Amino acid sequence: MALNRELMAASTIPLVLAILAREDCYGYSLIKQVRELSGDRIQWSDGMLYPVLRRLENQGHISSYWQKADSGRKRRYYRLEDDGRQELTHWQEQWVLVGDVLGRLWEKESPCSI
Amino acid sequence: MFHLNRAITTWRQDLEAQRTLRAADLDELEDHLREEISGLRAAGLSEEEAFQIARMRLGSPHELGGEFAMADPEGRRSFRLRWMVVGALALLAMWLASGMVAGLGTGFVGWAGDRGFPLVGVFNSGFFYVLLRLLALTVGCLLIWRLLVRDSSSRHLSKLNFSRIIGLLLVMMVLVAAARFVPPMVMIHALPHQAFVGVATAGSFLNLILLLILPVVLLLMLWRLVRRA
Repeated sequence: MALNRELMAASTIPLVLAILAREDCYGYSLIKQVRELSGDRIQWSDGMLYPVLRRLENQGHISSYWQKADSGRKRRYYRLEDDGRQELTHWQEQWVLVGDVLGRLWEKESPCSI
Repeated sequence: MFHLNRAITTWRQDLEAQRTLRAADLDELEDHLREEISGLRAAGLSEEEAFQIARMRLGSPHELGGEFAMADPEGRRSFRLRWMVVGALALLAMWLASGMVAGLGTGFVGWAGDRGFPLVGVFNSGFFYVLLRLLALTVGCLLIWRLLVRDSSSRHLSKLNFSRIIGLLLVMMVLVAAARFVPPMVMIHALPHQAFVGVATAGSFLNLILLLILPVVLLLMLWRLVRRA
């Protein structure tokens, strides 16, 4: 089962921030990590990630630097900034809340049936 | 025969033509494309197949251009403004240069006419000046177009866009000509001789001040825009 478009769009920023919280990454490796972690169920359109990264950088949540890759080409890496960590905390709280509410609803009987 | 580097260069030019991506964005996307191609090649695909799939996965240049424009609206505005200022500066320089060319041409015709060169006398100096200036202006506009517009996206400038540019230049020429000739004509007919001389002198003075101030203002704007970028 693949994730639907709306949910994929809504989860892009927290996913990017969460991966960058673990280590600095470049665009291609971000996409690969999401693909692997989700067992190929979350598949971003590759090019759409970069405008998101640009937006996050403009907002000061992440920053970027260039480094030479093994192939000899220069590669742009992204790093999570303090602002980004705070932003990630907000996202975590919101996703946990939604997950919690949905979990309760699906575990128990509907209050409407009482 | 498929040439990967040539195909990547063409793909990059397609992206560049969107005018919303900076050089660093293009470098980053090219690195992504090459990495994806390497992965697909390792999986057994041919160079051409790998390129086509990697390109498709990245999305069309039009889509990417739109997404980047939405991600950085301020940068897009600044980019457009920068080129407008560069264009205005180039146009101003060309206006001055065309005046010099026309002045030199008229001077040459006068000089040749004084020495009895055949056919030179048929050129009325005022008409010849305007003709030369329009010619120099047209050549200059084409040069600007080639340097500023055509340079980065020659293959993408359609006939329609080219016609629009030429149409715009023609309208500008007519407006500039009207702005130069109509006020003096009105002044000649509406003002007494003494007043006309005074207003004409003030007009020339204002013209000179504008010619001096305008490039400075434009250069300052450009400096600020480049610094902000």
